[in-house]
Formats: sequence, C-alpha cells, structure tokens
Amino acid sequence: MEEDAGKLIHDEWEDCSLVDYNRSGVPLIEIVSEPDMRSAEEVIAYLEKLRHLMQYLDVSDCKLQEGSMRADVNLSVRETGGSLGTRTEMKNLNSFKAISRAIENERERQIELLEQGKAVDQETRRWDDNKEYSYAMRSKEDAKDYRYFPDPDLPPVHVSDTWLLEIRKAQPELREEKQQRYQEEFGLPLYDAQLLTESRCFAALFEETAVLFGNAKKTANWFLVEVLRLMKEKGMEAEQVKFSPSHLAALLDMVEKKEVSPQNARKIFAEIFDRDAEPRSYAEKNGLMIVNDTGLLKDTVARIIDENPEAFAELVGGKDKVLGFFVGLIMKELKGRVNPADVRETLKKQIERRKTQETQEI
Amino acid sequence: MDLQALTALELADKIKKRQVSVLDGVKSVFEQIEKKESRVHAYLDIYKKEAYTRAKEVEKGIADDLYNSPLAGVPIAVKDNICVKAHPTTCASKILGDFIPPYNADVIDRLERAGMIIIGKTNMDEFAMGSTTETSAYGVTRNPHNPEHVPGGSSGGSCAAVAAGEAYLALGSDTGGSIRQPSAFCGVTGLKPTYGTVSRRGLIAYASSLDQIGPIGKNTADCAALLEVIAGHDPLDSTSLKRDDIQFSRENDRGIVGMKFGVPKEYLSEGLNPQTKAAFMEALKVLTGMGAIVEFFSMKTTEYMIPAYYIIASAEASSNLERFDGVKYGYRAAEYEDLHDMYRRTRTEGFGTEVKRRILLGSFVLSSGYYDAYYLKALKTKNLIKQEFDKAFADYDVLLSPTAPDTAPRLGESLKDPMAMYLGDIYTVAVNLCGLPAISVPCGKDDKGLPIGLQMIGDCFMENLSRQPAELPDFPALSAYLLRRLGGD
Amino acid sequence: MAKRIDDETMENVCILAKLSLKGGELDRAREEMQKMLDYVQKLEELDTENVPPLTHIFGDADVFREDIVRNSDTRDVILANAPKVKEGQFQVPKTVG
Repeated sequence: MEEDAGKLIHDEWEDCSLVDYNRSGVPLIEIVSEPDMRSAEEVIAYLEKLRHLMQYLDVSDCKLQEGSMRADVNLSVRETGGSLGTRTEMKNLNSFKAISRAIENERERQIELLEQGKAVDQETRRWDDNKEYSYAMRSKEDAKDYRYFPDPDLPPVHVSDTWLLEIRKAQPELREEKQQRYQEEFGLPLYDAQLLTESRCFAALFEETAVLFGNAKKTANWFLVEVLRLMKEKGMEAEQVKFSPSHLAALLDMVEKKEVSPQNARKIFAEIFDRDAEPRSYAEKNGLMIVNDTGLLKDTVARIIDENPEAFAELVGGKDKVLGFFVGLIMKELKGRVNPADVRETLKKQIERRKTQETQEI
Repeated sequence: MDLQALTALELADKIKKRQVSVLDGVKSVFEQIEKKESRVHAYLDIYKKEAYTRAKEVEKGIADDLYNSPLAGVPIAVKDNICVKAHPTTCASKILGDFIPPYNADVIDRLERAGMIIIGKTNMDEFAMGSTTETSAYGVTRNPHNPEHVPGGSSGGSCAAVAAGEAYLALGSDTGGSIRQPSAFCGVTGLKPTYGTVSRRGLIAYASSLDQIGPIGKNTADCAALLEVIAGHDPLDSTSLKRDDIQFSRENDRGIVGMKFGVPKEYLSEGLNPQTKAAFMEALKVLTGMGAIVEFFSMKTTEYMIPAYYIIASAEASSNLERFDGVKYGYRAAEYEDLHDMYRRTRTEGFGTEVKRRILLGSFVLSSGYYDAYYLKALKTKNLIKQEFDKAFADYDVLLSPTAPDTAPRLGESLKDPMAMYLGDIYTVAVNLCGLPAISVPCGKDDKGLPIGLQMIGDCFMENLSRQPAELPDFPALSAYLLRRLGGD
Repeated sequence: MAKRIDDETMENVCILAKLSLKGGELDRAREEMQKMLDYVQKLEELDTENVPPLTHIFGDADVFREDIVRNSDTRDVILANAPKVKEGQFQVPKTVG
C-alpha cells in the first residue's frame, strides 16, 4: 500500500511538464504477481478479474484511462522448457488494448533479438500507443534502487485473525458468487449471468428491479435484451446506466397485465432509460395504454382492409405471411394501444367473413 | 524592576497579578536583543512589530480570561525548523531561503492558544545537522558566555537566546542531542521529551524516528511548564502518543533518600574532559550526601551508539531531504539542462557541506547491496541498545552522565574534523534511539567560564517519574529539586 | 576496513543522492564517507544473529483515524512557494523524451 505521488501532464505548447499534486495522498495498492502469465490473453483475464474484484469490494472504479487502475508489464521470453529469460518492464499502458498490444510487440521484439543472437537488456521501456512501439528509458537516473526502508512516520499495522474475520464477514457478495446464484436461482445460463454482473451497480439495478417486480427470469430477459440494446446504441458502459428500479418494475407489471403492448413498452422504457420517466403517467399522457374498444378496433381493421384490397386478397388466398403486414399497419394506426393478439383475432374473423361472402357469391 | 532576572513562570505570574504588563515583558526582551544580538546572532528573523501587536492582544486576552495558561504573556523564541505560518522558515539552509509555510506547526498553535508571544526564529545548524550552529547558511551564533566559542548545536540559536536574555523561553528540536548539548554549552536547561509526546507536524524532518521538539529555559520549572503547553496528541502525526500523564509541572517535595541513580561507567572513559568529569563527580558526591544511591554500571553497547545513530539518522535524512528538489518550494538552480540536472544542481547549490555529507552516507547505507550490512545492522544494534537501557531502568530510577564530553569548542575548530564532532554526541544519541526523555541542567563551569551540563535520563514516560512501587516525583520537578540541592538553579 | 568506495560506487551514490559533486568536493566527500564507513564497521563486532531489527520504539499499538475527506483552500499559498508555476500547476523541465 502506498500513496499516489501526483499526476504529470506534458505541456503541448511549451517544452515542459506540469505537476498536479491534487491526487497525492490518495491510497494506492500495488499488487505484484509472480511470473505466472504466459500470454496477453492471460494477462487481460487476470486484470479483468482484479478489476471486477476491486469494483465489487468498492475499493476503486478501476478506470485505466483515468489512472485509477494502472499496470506495468514485466515480460521475458524463453524456449519451451527453458528457464526464464531477462525481463523488461513496460510503462505507460493506459488501456487493456494498449497492454495487449504492448505485450505482443515486446514478445516479438525480444524473440527477434534472441534469434539474431543478441541479448535482451534488463530495462524499463515506455510504450507509445499511437505509434505502437516502445523505447528504452535508458538514463542512469532511471536505474532502480528505491532504497525502501520501514517508514518511521508510519507505525506498523497489525492484522489480526479476528480483524480479518470481521472484514471477511462484512465483505459483499463477489461477482463469481453472484453468477453462481443467478444460474441456480434464476436458471440463467453462465453467459447471461456474466453480462448481468459486468458491474456491481448494474447487478444491483437488476436485482432491485427483480425483487420489486417479482419475476427474476423476466426481469433478466428485459435487461439482457432491452437494457443491453440501449446501452449499445448509446455506447454506454454498465456503470453508467442509472434509473429507478421501481420504474422498470412498474413497466414490467403493466406489460404483464397487458396494459401496454410490448411495442409501446419499449418506447416507454427508452424514456425510463434516458430520463427515469414514471411509466404509467408517461404512457397515459402519450396515449400508449391499451384501450379495450372493440368497436374502434373492428372499424379500423375494416378500413385498413378496404384501403389494401390486393394485399387482403392475397391473405384470403392463403398467403399467411401477409398477416404480419396487416397487424403492423393496424398497430401503427392505433399507435400500439391495442393488443397484437386482439388485432390478430379481429383480422382472422374478417378473413373468415370475407371467405364466407366469396363462397356465397360463387 | 529588573525583568531580566525573572524566570518565565515568575514573569507570567507578575503579568497575571498586573504588576507587570505583557508589553513590559516583550520590551525587556527587545532591549536585550538590542544590546546583545549584534554579537550573539541568535536570531534569523525577529518579529518585532508583530510581537508588540500581539502583546496588546494577549494583554486583553489575559484580562478576559481567554489566556489562562501559567505562561500566558511570556515571550518565546522558536527554532527555524518549526513552521510558523506566513513567516519564512529556512532550516538555516539556502535551499529553503524563501520558503513561507502555509500552515503553523502543531506546537505553534499550542503556543498561541497559551497566550505566548513569538519573538522570532532562531539560528541552527542547517537542517539540524551539526553540533555547533556553524553549518548554518546564515552565519554563526556565538556563545553568550564567551563569544569566541560556539553555542553548541543544532539548537544553538535557541539556547543562546535564552542564555543572553533575548528570550525567556525557546523551542528547540533534538535528534541526537540538539537541545541538550547546546543547553549544556550555554548554561541553560533543555529537555528532550519521550518520543511522541510533542507533535512533529510542522517540524521540518531530519530523522523522523529520532526528532522531538522540546523546551529550553532558564530552569527546569520553566521547561516543565512549556512542555505542558506543547505536549498533547495530534491525530495528524501518527507517532504522536495519547498520553494522559502530561502534568509535568506538578510540585513535589519528595526526598531523594533511597532513590537509585545509575552511571554508565563507559561514559566516563576516554575523551572526557577532566574538568567536565570533575564537575560531574562533584554532582554525584552531592547526591550521595543527600542519601541517594549512586552506582556505576556497565553499558556494553556504548561504543556502538554513535555508529548506529549516524547510520539511522543519515538514512532517514537522505529520504526526508529528497523533497527538496526545486519543484514545490524553495530554491531552484538558475540553469539546468533537463529534469534530473535541475534536481542535481538545485540540491548541490542549495545544500551545505554537512547536509550533503549525511545525504550521501544515508543514500549509501540504504542502497541495494549495502542495506543489510549497514542499515539493517544499525536497527539490530538499536534493539540491543534498547534492551540494555531497559535492563538499566529495571535497576535504576534515573541514569546520569555529563551532557557532553567537553565544553563548547572555539569557533571554527569543529568543522575541520567532522568525525571528532560526531564523537562529541556520545552521551546524547542513545536517548533518541530509544525514545527516552532526558534533560540537561547546568552543573558548573570550566576555567574558561564555559558552562558544563549534567544529563539525567529517564525511562520512557518518566518525565513523570510515577513508577511503581514507590511514587516518584515528576522528572523536571525532580531535576529542579536536585538542582536546588546542587546549587544550580 | 570497510569496503573501499570506488569511482563507480561513488557515482552511483551521487545519482541516488541527486547531487553532482565535482573535483575537490567529490574527493573530500568520498574521503569522509570512507572514514565514516571504516568507523561504523565497528558494528560488525556485535553478534546480532538472533536480534530482530527495531524500527519503531512504540510500534505495538495500531494507529488509525477515521477516513474523512477534508478539503483546504490553500492552493494559491502553496503555489506561491513554487519556483515555477503554470496554469495552477508546478512547472518542471520535460519529464519524458
């Protein structure tokens, strides 16, 4: 554990750097792994896992771009079965993609050196992600000799078993535990459980909605389809999604009670997603509730059929595909305020009637 | 009335009784500064105008009972490594020549709450590294008893100010004897408290495990009263202790009969000036005559104290002084090629020779390959020294020694041979290594009229000597008591 | 006798200390450091095989305080001490090549 030293900004206009000490004193945990990883994929998987763990423990938001998570990569190559080679350390890695690219690049560089019969120098290198290239920081001042010693200003901290136990007890449910539970309780496949637990607050949003609505499986489906779709459209990360779970629960309830059509439910949800709209008042104000007016439905169906005689003839002639076309037109005409099932029912009755008429005419 | 003849407590008492005004006390100090400062050079900065303004404020504060400490209204000098908000704090170094702290040290806030009046900042060895106040970048301070001699160091300015009557009290800092040794050389009383008793927040660090701020005064009662003002827990210093036994100025009249004093016999071997030894032995005789038990015992780690101390102090100094790099405050070299060159030139131009010497040594003993042989070995030695002190305090109530092996050297003598200067810290450094409280009180003079100091070392927290089974008096009070008998106070 | 401080060691120590000593100053510093190392060599006489290093005199009790964020509005006074300032930050020579 240490404290952040501060932030460096490289001035673009003048040949100088600027130091911002506002961040100094912010606690920092440095985790040093053993040389256990064998590929960029393993490194990324390790970092992803660490990131989720830190986020679930509410230690940090772990954003590489903002510097709340950083990684230096030590890398060496060796022939299969051989002993570990000389390592280099790579700095200035600001995204998982940069880490991945830097590992690939450095692996190739070292292999090339060795194949040319040259040696790898133990050194610190700086990654330039724009040029996808690294260079050695060679000055003597960069040679590593930190001269660490027990800080007299910081008395030692004693971590007792009791204290550890208390911390463990107070620890929140971690991502893997959540995924396990989602699979068991909600019967979700692992992949879906992974998506829902992508971030701790996203999972919390899902769970709160599910509790309020009362059906976790249906809530999960809504998240996996509608929430993910809007996130993708808007290019949002899971932790940016914010709306009242009670609003989505209320909407799902309205769908369940057939008070809104699935089509309009999507429309309403977009409003909840964007500005946390209250679904019932929004639906009522905008005429999105289902109306149980059989007369209106009958008249509309009749009118649409009259306006599309050729298509209707095809339908009567047995072309079932055209049914969807008619349902769509009618739903549109009635702004989705009716149940598609009711529309279909009414349409079928009309077809039957028309068929009977035709038979009589022959 | 000759205010100069008064102790700090007597002055405060007369102020309280309205026999003397706060302004009178401040005036008497500035008159003395007028008379003596050009020769002594105890101060680096004098707050004359501000002190007079503050005197009026304190006068009113005392009348309104806002300030009711036993030292309210007393003028005090502060060593220049203690931050006073909005006033230069230089550590007597070029590198901090124009540094203006944006905050007060914890002790300064406490002085102000007690209604004390800061007269100015005192000279010192640069970054408190030195034993003579000659490593100051701003000129030497002279011993008020003999201007051809040094006042000792590193708190030489503070001790000289008190000795010359240019302040009633002063704050110093003690890392390896920096309060006690100049107190001995200047014939005043100086106390180094148990580590953690006084907050170090705002004390510019030299060696964090050893540094401690402490009082310097005309006698032990004044020191005890000042320690009471500055002691106390500070949540912003993690090494600050939560002590509830900080009523140091409690009166005591307990007899000395049967008290056990231990004298490490190794402290009296080679290098001890015969006149200093004679004065010390005389003090022991008086104690015995009073019914005290005085015994000599062997402190086998004595010869390892200075090596361990200089390794640890230099190591910590090299780390603490890394912050002076020309970026955040202080001096920056005028010309440089790049960042590292800027650091190097700034530090090479900004630090004096003694500071550089210790930074180099500290960097070496912590560097890879040498850490175990030097730094780690010193920490283990420190453990052995601590164990030996623990054993000594199982047998004795108080340990006694001369404060320094010799009286104040002539100006210019010491810096020629730094090793010899380091050896002069032989009796004082172990106290810092072990976090112990110790006091230096005057116990005579040599034939040149230079003062000799007696050091009393207590066990941790023995500023209050309240160890079981016998209820013993406060450490300063005990010293005062002893001194009355020794004829020192 | 302690290890002799050769040129390379002295250069390394100067880099760590961030000091550039030249000519006579460097020679004198090396000589004094050598003397000091020879002197502290004395510690080798002590058997410290089973002695743990003592880092903190009062290190037994944990020192904690509440994790409370406190803000202070001292940016300008702090920056006023800086030798070079730009846009509310400390200006230094370029740190990367």
